[in-house]
Amino acid sequence: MMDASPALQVSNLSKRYAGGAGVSDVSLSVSPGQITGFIGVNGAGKSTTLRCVLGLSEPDAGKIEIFGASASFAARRRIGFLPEERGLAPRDRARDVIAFHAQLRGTPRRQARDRAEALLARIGLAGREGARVGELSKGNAQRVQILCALAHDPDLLILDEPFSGLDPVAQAEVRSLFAEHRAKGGSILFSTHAMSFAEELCDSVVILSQGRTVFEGAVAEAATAGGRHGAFVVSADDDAVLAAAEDVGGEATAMTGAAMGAVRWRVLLPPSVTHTVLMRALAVRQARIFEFKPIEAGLESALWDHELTRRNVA
Amino acid sequence: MLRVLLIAEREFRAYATTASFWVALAMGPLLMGLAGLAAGAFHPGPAARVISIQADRPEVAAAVKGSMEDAARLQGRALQVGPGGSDLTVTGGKIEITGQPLNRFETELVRRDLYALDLADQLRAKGDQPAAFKHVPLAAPSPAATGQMSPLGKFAPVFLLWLTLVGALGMLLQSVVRERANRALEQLLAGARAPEIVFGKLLGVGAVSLLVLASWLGGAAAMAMTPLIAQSSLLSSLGSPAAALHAGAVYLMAFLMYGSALVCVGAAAPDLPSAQNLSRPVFGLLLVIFFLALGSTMGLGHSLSWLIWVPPFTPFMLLLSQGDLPVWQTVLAWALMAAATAGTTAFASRALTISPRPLFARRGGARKRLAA
Repeated sequence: MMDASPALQVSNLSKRYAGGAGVSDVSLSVSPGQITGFIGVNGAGKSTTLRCVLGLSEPDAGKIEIFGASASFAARRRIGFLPEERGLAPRDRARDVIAFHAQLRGTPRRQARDRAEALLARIGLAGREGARVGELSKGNAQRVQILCALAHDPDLLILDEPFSGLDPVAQAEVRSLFAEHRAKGGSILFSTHAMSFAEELCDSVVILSQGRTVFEGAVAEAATAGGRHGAFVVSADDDAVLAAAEDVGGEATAMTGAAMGAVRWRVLLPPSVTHTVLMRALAVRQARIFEFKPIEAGLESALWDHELTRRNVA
Repeated sequence: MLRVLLIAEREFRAYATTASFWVALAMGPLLMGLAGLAAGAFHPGPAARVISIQADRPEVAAAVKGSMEDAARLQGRALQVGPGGSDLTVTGGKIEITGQPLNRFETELVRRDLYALDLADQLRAKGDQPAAFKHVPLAAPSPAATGQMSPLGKFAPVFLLWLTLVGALGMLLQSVVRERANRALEQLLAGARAPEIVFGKLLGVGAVSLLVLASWLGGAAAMAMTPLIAQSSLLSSLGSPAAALHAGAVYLMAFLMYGSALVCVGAAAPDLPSAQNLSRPVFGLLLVIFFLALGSTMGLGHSLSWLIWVPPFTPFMLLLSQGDLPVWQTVLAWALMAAATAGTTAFASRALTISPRPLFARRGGARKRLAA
């Protein structure tokens, strides 16, 4: 399973749609045996990139290599894929649908059935192999779909929002499936909006903003390079917020999209200033606050930094 | 090929593993059979043919009786010997009829046998030894063989194709749209090539529709047993192996052509309502074809024969032509249909890999969502 070359190497990928969305310069690398997080706000180009990697869209430019080979159909058979939106036919039986995906990628029928049963047992669904997907709980149905991606024992897993809609128990199971896959030398690239998962699970992250790779490297590096703590503040008193931020040595940036006369502000704080200090400063300035949401230093903050920087440049 | 079969099996199972499918499947022949039985019960059938025969020689009487038995059988009637019908007196090779006259068919058959008998007599008079006269019962000629196909028989294969297509295309559309809408198609595309998915779906849904067609034909066969339908049924129009093979090939090509067109529609639509809207022109076209074919069958549209060169019409016009076309026209029509099918199939494969999202999700955009 172990290859010397990267499990996935994307270089200067570009794909434009008629309406202007897409990606313009995406590069990323997934090392063998590593878990890579693929993060970015909605519309950043994550799905377009994944579609190109999986051969669902033809890139306009750029290069994609899978385990050192050009991204051909044969090379892509080493990938297991989970789409963001889950959709299994309700009448499909859990074992059959997993075995189907394994067979589709070349696993013999008998072996595919055995593998499906083993995977179902692995997530606590032993005895329910013959259950129809429609009879399973939503969480179990989602787990079955994740198993479809794992069915043929792929070398590289590409998962689009694998944790969305899962309860904490199921999330823990998926995390342990990730760990097992990595322990066997497999690689994982997964997109997520939950920064906590990326921080906890990933060896490296790729941050995408407006169709470009703006960061690629270790998680810790991403968090320290761009991540400052602060808070999102929704207030109708612009002057008071600006003054309070200045009082504590912070930096306030107005975000668009506020409603009913209130504006959403992002206030970044110096490392020594706590959220409490900012709240006190806002109180002193008698700012009417509708929402106060702390931002911890880390990936989320780094993501915001990159996103706002790109938007200001644009 | 394995992936095509896997996908086909999955499509087939999606329909064939439901109890409702089998109930619906059984309903077709059941209803047709019941209709046939009802028709048989309420339609008493033609009255029995009553004849009496008087002849100067017993072999002449036997020959005339044999002719009348043939005629009655081929007209679906019983034959009774006795008074009250047609009284036939045959003397010296001349036949005199009192009472009910013979119809043209009966006259021809009686004349045939008397002629053979007379020929034997003449030969014997010349001193020859002819073979003994033996009445050979007539086989029923098929309408297709005599070129005297009834309008119903001519239209029946077209109607079957139309019905099969309308049913199967709906299933195919739903199959693509469902997976397109919930993005399961992407997971499928990650493991199989687009043409494999197109052919797999066509094969799976095609097998389902073949099953439905077989059940309808079974029902039609049951109907054909009834006196109401008799010789002019669709079964007689498909009666010869060559005609059945021709019809089968046309069905296959038509299903591939229309099916791949519907896969294109399903792939281009982000959800079922959009797909239904986009597919309306196709179903509208099929409706137009239905009425044109019906009109043509009734002799109202001789000037429409050029439609054979318009691919969506080609399979229907081929069925209507009943093999009357010159060879070059048949070959050219098949080539045209094959080219159109190859084109739509290639286009369907391409359409599957194009996400409809960028086409349908322009408004709003990422930046607005980001700021919200």
